[in-house]
This record gives sequence, C-alpha cells and structure tokens, in this order.
Amino acid sequence: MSRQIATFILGNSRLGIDILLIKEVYRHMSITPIPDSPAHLKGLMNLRGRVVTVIDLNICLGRAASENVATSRLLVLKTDDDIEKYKKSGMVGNISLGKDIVGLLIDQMDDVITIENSDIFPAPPNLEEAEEALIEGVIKKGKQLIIILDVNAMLEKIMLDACM
Amino acid sequence: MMDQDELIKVFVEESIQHLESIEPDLLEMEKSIDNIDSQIINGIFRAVHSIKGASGFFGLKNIGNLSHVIENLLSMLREGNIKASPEFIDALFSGIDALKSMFDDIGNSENFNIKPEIERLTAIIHPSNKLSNTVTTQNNNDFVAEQVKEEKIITIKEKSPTGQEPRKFDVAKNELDKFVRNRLCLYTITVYLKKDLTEKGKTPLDLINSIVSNGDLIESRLDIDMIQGLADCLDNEIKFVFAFATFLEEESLPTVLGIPKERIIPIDIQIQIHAQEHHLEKAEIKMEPELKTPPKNITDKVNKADKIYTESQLPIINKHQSITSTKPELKITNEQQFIPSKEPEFRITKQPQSTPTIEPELKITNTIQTEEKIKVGVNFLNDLVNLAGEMVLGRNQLNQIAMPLIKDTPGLNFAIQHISRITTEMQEKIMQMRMQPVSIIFGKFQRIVRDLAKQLDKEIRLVTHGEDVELDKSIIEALSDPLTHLIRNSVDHGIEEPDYREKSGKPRQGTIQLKAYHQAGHVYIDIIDDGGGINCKLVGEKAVEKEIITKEQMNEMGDKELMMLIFKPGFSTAKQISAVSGRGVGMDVVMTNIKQLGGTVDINSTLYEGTTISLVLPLTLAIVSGLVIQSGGQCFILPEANIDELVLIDPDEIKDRIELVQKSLILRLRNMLLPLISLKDVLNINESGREKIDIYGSTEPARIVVIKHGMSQFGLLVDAVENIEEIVVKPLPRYLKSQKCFSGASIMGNGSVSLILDAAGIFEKAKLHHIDLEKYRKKAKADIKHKTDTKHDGKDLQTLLLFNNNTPEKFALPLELISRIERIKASTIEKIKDQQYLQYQGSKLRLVFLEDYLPITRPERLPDETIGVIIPKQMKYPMGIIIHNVEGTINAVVDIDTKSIAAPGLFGSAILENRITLLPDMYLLFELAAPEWYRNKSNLKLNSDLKKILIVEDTPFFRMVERDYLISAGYDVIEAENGKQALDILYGQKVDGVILDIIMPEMDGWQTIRAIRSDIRFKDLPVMAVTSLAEDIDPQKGFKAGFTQWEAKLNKERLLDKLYKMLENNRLDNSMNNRLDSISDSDSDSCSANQKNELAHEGKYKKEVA
Repeated sequence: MSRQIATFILGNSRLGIDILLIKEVYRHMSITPIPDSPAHLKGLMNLRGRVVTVIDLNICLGRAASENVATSRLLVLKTDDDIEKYKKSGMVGNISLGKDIVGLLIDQMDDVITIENSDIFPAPPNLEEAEEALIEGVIKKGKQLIIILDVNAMLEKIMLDACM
Repeated sequence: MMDQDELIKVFVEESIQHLESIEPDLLEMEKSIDNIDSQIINGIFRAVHSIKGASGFFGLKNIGNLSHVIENLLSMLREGNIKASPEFIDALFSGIDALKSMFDDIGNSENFNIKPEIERLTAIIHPSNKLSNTVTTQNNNDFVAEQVKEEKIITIKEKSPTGQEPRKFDVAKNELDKFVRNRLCLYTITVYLKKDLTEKGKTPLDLINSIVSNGDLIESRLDIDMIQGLADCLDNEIKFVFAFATFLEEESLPTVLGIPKERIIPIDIQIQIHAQEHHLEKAEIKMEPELKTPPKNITDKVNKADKIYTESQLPIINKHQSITSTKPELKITNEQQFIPSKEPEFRITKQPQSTPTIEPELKITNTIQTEEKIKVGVNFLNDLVNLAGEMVLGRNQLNQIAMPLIKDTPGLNFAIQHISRITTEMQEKIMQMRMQPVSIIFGKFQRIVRDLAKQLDKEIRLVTHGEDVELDKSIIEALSDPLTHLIRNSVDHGIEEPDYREKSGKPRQGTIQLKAYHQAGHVYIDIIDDGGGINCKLVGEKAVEKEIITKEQMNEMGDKELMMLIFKPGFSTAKQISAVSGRGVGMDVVMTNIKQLGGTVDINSTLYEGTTISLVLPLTLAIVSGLVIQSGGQCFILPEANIDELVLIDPDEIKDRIELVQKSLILRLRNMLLPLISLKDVLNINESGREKIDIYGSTEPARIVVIKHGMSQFGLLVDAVENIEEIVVKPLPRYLKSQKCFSGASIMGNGSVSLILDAAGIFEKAKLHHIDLEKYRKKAKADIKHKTDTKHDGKDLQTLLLFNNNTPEKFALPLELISRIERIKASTIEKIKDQQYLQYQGSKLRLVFLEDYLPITRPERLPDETIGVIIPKQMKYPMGIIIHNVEGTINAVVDIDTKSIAAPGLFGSAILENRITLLPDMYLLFELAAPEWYRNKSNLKLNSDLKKILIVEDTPFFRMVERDYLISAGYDVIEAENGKQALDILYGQKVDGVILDIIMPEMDGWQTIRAIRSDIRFKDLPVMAVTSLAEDIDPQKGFKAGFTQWEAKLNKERLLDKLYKMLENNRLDNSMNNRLDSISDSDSDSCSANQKNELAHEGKYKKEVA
C-alpha cells in the first residue's frame, strides 16, 4: 500500500510524517511559555480557539533546543477525532493522537512524497539513542535519508517526560 | 384542555425519537438472530412500553393497541418463550413502521388501519391460527401450546367501593406472574386532570414519570364513563385511570404520587389470578371479529372491534364466566354470537358521550406541528463555542483595522456593526445551547428523601422551587453528587425524629426546601431544613477532638467559623456513623466539588430552628470572571472567586509590612499575618536569574493579591495587576497535567493563550504550613502591639479622602463614610426652588454645597464644568455633597483641633500634609441642608439623671466624634480604646450603656461582647454595636451575639435615637423584672417568662401613650 509522507527540515536532517496525521502547517505563532515545565514543552498556542501544546521536536530527538522560534513553522497534528475515519478504513495503523492538539516546531516544510511500505528501511545504527526510539524507519531518496517519525512513540515520550 | 396540545406534541416528539432508536436495534437483532443480546430487547421493550403507557392517556387507542401487541411479543421473546425468526423481525418492523406512520399524522391515527400489522404480529404468537395446516412436529405443538398459555391475558378487577362498578384492566399472565414473584402490589389510581394535575402545576407526563419510576405501569386510559355531558367537558375534569404495580405500600402512595388516598384502590393479585385462571384470552377476542369481517369493511370493523375490546370487557367476561373450556374454536363461536348483539348497544349508550372529549382533541392535533430536533454531541457543541469565541476575536481585529477606513468607505460601518451584532448574538445562542434546567437533578431527590426518611423512621417533605433555573450542562452534571450529599445530610442529621419534633413544638413532618434562583449573575441553590440546626460548640469540640484545630483556635473562632469546620476533611458530627451519611467523608468533598465549579458554599444555622446551606454557582462553567495579573513578563489569570482583596504596599512601607521568617515571607495585613508567596519564585520565572527576589531592595511598590484557599488566606506577590476579564476556561492539555500550579488555560482578548492559576496548587507547591504559621502568629501578636504602640503613640491610622471645592481651602472626610464619588456635569444639576437635585440611580439625590453652610470661600462654577459628588454610605434620605476635585487619600494619625476653626457642620480642623484641612461633619451638614427631613430628630430628652455611656473605639477620630455627639445630648461619657480596657472599666464602675466598635485590635467587638455577656452582671447591659460595615455584616448576627442595638458610625441622629431607645427599653425591662421578682419568689421558668412578656407589652403600651 502506498503512503504519502509530508517531509520537513529540522536542523540538518529531513524528516517525515504520514500526511494523514497532519492537520496543518502554521506560522505567525504567539506562544505562551509554560513556567516550570520540561524543556520540550515549548508553550501553548491559540489555534482558532483551541489550545495547542507546542513541542520542541529538537529536544525530543535529543538535540539542542530550537533557537529561532520566530522563523519556525508549526506542524500541527490531528487528534483522535480527526483520524477516526482513517482508522476505520485502515488507512492509518493503530495510532493514538489523543484529544489535545500537538504542534511540532520545525524549520521548514519540504515535499510530499509517495512511498510504499517496503521503501522504509530500519533506522541505521549511527543514530542517537533518543532519536532511534522515535523513529519508524528511514527512506533513501537519492543520496538523502528521510527519517520517518513514529508519532505514537513520540507522543508517548512527550507524555512521559511531561509527568516527570 | 390547557396543556393537551403541548403534551401531545411532546409525546409525539418523544415517541418518534423512541421509534427511531428502535430501528437500529431491530437491525442488530436481525444480524444476531440466534443469540440476541438481551440488552437490545430490553431497550426496544422500554421504548415501546413508554409509547403504550402514554398513548392511553391521549385516548390514542390504535397506537396503544399496536404497541401493546408489540410489547407482548417482546416480553415473550425476553422470557425465552418464543424464538426470534426472520418473520418475527419483519413483523416487528412492520409494526414499528405502522406506529411511525400513525405518529406522523397523529390526528388521523385513529383512522389508520392497523389490522394487517396486528394480524401479522399475533400470527407469531399464535401460529396455530395461520399455520394450522402446516405440518408441525409434536415438539412444535407443545411449544405453541406453551406460548398460548403464557400469553394469556388476565383481566383484573379492582376492589371497588360500594355502589361503584369495579373497573377492569388487562394484564398478560406472564406479567402478572412476575408481579407476584416480585411481591409487587397492584393498584388502580384515579386522577383528575384539573384537580390533581394542572392546578398543582403538573403535567400528565410528570405523573406518568413518577409512576414509572416507582413501579410498572400496566395500563392507562382516559375514563370517559364519568363524563355525562358537555358541562363536564368544559369543566376540564377529565379523569384518567391507571393500573400499576409497585413495591410501595398503600399508605405511602398518596404522598409519592400526590393523589388523595381514597382514589388509590388496591387489587388483590392472588384472588384475581385464581378467579380468572380459566378465562379467555384477550387477543382472541380482538382477533376473531376482524378475521371474520369482509375485507371491504375492514377499517370500520377494526375500530368497532377495538372499542368493544376496551369498553365492553365486563360484559364479555360475564358472558364467558360459564365457559370452562379454553379451546379457541369454542370461544370464537361465542364471540361471534356476542358481538352483533352487544355492539349496537354500546354504540348508542357510550359513543355519543365520549365524542365531545376525544374528537375535538384529535382534531386539534391534526394541525400540531412538532418542532424538529436533532441531537448534537457535546464535543461538537464545544467546538462551536470555541469557534464563536474565535469569531469574536476576529471581529475585534476587523474592527481595529477597519476603524480608520470607515470615514472614507461608505457602508463599511454598517457592515461592521451588522457583523458585530450577529457575532454577539451567535455567541449567546451557542452558549444557551449548553444550558439545562435544574429540574433534571431536582427530580430525583423526591425519591431519595422519601426512601431515606422511611429508612430512618422520619417524616420529611421535600419542597422544590425554581426548577426552571438553567445552568450549564457541565455544572448540572457536577452538581448532582454534592447536592445528593447535602440532601442526605439534611435528612440524616438535620431533621429530627418525629416524636422529638412534636415534643419541641414543631410539626411532626420536617420540611426540606430545595430552592434555585438567580441573584447578581449567579445561580443560588439553597438547601433549607427546619431541623435541629448545627450546634457550633459541639462542632468545635469535635474538631478539637479530631485534631483539626487546637483548643485555642476554637476559643477564638466565631460561630460561623466553627460551623464552616464541618467542611474540613475528616469531620463528621453524627454521633453514630450511619449507613446514610457520615463516614467522615462528604462535606469536604461537597466543598471541593463546588469550589471546582467556581462556586462557593455558605452555611447558616440556628440551633433548634434549622440550617440553610447555600451554593453559589456561576451560570456557566465555561465562562468565569478572572483577574489578569503579570509576573515575570507573562500574563496569568486568577479566578475572581479565589480573590479576597488587592493590596499595594509603598516601597518605604515594605519593610514594616513584610517580614522574612525562616526564609518565608509574612505579610502583615491589618491585624492578620498572612503567608506571602512570590509568584515568580513559585513558578521559577525569575528573569534575572536570582535565587529569590529581594523584596526589600525594591523601588517599586509591592502588589499583592490576597487569595482565599479553603479556610486560610495567603498573599501572592505579583508584578502587576491588570484587569478583570470574562474568560472561557479550557482544560489543560494532557501534557500539562503534572503542572500543579495551573488549573486550565484561556484564550485572551488579544488571541494569546494564558494560563489560569490554581490557588491550591500554588499553596501546596510553596509548601506552606498553616499550623507553623499559627504559632508564629501568636508570637507576633505581642510584637505588633509593641510596634503600633511606639509608632503612633497609641493612636491609630485614619484613612481620609482629601478634596477641594475649587477654592484654596482643603477638606477631608473619613473614607469609611463614603460610598462612592460620582463625576457629573454641573449642567445636569436640576434646581427646584432653593434646592438642587441630581438624578442618580433612579432616585433624586439632594445636593449639598459646602459653601452654603460653612464659613468658606464661595467658588465659581461654570455650567459645563465637571464636578464631583460625594455619596455617603447608609443614608435614610439620598443626599450628596458637591466637591470640585478629589486630591487623594491619606493614611494619617488625625489630631483634630475643634477649637481654632469652629462652625456648625464642621468637626474641626487638622493639619494634613502640612496644610490646614477642614473636616466637615457630613451628617450635621445634611441636617442643616434638609431640616424638614430631620425635624422630628432627637428631642427625646433624657428623663432621668445623667446616663453614663462607655464608648469603646480604637480610632481616636471616631472616639472624639462620638463623644461630642453624646455630650451634646447630655450623656456622661467614658472612653476605652479596646475591649480589654472596656472590660476593666466595666468591672470598676457602673455604666448605663456601651457603644462598641466591631473592628478593633487586641480584642475586637465580637470578642468583647462575648466577654461582656458571659458575666452574669452584664447580661442585660445595653450594648450598641457601631460599625462602618453595617451593610456587610448581618445585624441578625450581631443581635445573636448579644448586641442590643446596631448602628452605623457617625450617623448622629440615628445613633442618639437608637441609644435613647435602647436605654429606655432597658429601664422598662428592669422595672418589669423588679416587679416580676416580687411576684414570683420561687418561680417556674415558663410562668415567669410569660408574665414577663405580658408586662413587657404593658410597658411598651405605656410608653406609647406617654
């Protein structure tokens, strides 16, 4: 079965998330920081009357915190309600996005690519440990590697870290 | 028939909903035909049952009959007596479809041909009728036989009062067996529409609901036998008859249903079953004529047959009394013989009379339009709420951008206003969608109270008011548990045993009132009982015993504070822990729950008289009023419900008011010591990166929000206090659940997200130990005394309002006396002869110009000038003082000089801020300005010797003023600065009366009065409370505490008047007591009290004559 992956740039790497899980890409953010919270919780944002939790993806992946938030984009994920119909028709696997909207800070959007599941390779061993846990696999696109994020694992990690 | 149209509408709407819910269930049944979930059958059964139940009410026989047959089938299926087959499901479908078509055109439902459906359905119950020719195995035959037996309909008879024909009802045999098994009792109930329902504000549906919630409704019908002519119809006395089975006993029914006892008639099931064991089955009676009727007449016949079945039950039974055989064939023949002869008779005698009642109703219903409804999920609704909020934001942005363009763009202004209006309206409507009436939860309490009272052998009546008050859905849901607890508590602890009540002169039956009403933008729910009240002393002792408070704390607590202890965790006053309430959990949970809703709980109780618990709730949970504060460059919201007051401390006062004790800050507020938490510290948002903020080095004033948290208070140090906003509360995302300091988030007017602070979480995180603070408080008290003594030379600070009159003179008035200051245009003042008035809050405010009465310079006033009006607190007549400008307020020790500048209407002068300032005597000014209002003022001269009055007042200014008042009226005055001094004086010399200030350091008015009254010598001493807070404190509380009178400070005329009356009453009482003492030497208490009362009356009378 072929899937569409939305790819984006974060630091030096190109990452991807199944396009069915993405609600929208947002700019002009006004983020309210959350005092005394884990570093990966960048803050809260108003998205047309709903509160979005903004996550610093860099920190989740064990990298240095995002610096230039002003020029960043926000990759807003869908919620369980939004993907219910995809789940029913089997278009996405067993993914739980929760009821709260999450936005991931990224540097820039890139192409949407169409892939087959068989195009995905296991993550190469040279990745960071923190990163490895959140990755579904990689795709080779010419010379470039596109890292496919495991959204489930990532949200779980966010939850876990937030409760520490 | 007042509500009938409305009711039918509701019935139709509900029924259609029911039918629609049945359909998917039927489909589900069909899918799993071999293993049907009993839940599904039950669901369908219930839906059909309620349709049947209500249809009898409206005389909708076709619907009633069809649903009855369906119900029977389902009940047999449920009991396992028949198996579901595809034909069965089909028949059900066709039945449900027929019901639906009838509901779609309810007015014509009686003309609808339901015969095919009934035939099809009964064919399943009686396959023999149709399938007699098909080859069936022996097993099958047995099965069929069993079915027939089970489906047998039994007609039950009520035990009728003499002279009346017993009425009959049909019950399926299996149903009846079930009643017997469950030991249910059967009753028939006669209900008059007008007398029992409409006049009591109930609808028939209410009654049906209460019947269904208490038992099984067997049959309901409109009793038309009673109607003898048109007059009866006009009278609206429509009679309904219900048969129903319930576990309730005969004696409790009248109260539960609100129907007089004589109209509830029990039926003895055992006899009924026995007597009718061999009688015939209703279904067959009904079916046979239909089957034999030639097709062309079918509809007509069905109608006739139906009527026979419902109305001629009695003759049929009689007819068949002799028949012992149960063979269908035999019966059928009998039926046929019977019908032609009976039918015409019924037509003539019954039909014409019933026509006027039923026909008009149904004609009206022809035109009834039911409002279509759709169900919408709450999530969907919440999204709408969000979007509406966003739309408001968008509109605001649009407004800002468009504002400069409006001038040059024709039509833009109109369009923007249009959008603006629609947006507002839309938001309101969407918020309304979430509102639900409290009747949803009030309804269940009747039952709870009834059951509990029975269990506890008490007699209790629950009265509810304001069921139509609406609250947000989420609040309604969250209210259910706390309210249930409070009601149970009232039943269990509040209302006493009937015998005890009788002894104490109360009606045996206790009353609990449940009241909902709107007040000041909030919804109040009061739970009022006339029970034993709360014994504050016991509560206090219990709290000490449970180590919730210390003994010292208890002694310092007022009644109210003691009462509030019942909301502390781990508290239960019940002497014995009962199953009903009181396991030490409960009231604290109630408090927490209500707090979480943004509400408050208040309790008022009078021993032996009863208790009132008031819940104050916001209208909607979604919107709360919050204070926007700033700390560390970030905005936060504090729910207004948590805030007690805002305090601003000037930089140079900080070191006096804030202390550092063991690394934690303590705020000195009046005579309280409060823990002070820096919001920046607790949230770790010190932008400068310092470990702790250095409050003492600050050049900025300290801004402190005093927050209530449970029973205690604390100060929260913030950077800036902005404004109060109505905010929409949004739950925190799950990723933030571990953040204890926040309770939610909200989107602000500018579109950014702000976090809502949680008082409890902050308090906890700052790890404040309340008890430790208590210790400190004690130590510090002495310290405070020392400090204030040395600092102000024993005199207290006085807050004064400084103002001018557009002349060089400066004036000051005590801020305590002032309600508010209005800015007005001089041209709005209206002149009537010499008097000047201002329209103010719907009344005419009489204006006083200082220059008219005081020896001061006359100012120039221009008509378009803006001037100020000082409006004082607590005036009998609306009056105001005209000023020019407010210059500010000052906290100072006022040294009044009454000699240098003296004039009527002037207290005197003082030097404030290095200027000579005049202190007008506001009340005297009013007297001078409006002598006609004060004409009958205190010409009450003291009739006897000089009375000695003790003034207890901490503020020298007030002390002086009061002293002047009293001396001018001819009293002898002694002064005390606080309660302790006052007591010393009282012990030392004879005093005729006391004027006592409430708010004082050292020993306040409450403590002083308690001390005074606890001494037997002073139990009758007249004591008047004077306060500037009269409007904030309930005078009732004051009287209870032992005060004889209650008056506002500085209202000379009233003060003297009340003082005079107080002393005079006391004198009369004393002389009365003296007489009484001489009458009864060895008096019994009650006797002397009576006499005393009589004499007191006599005394009053004499006084009036004099």
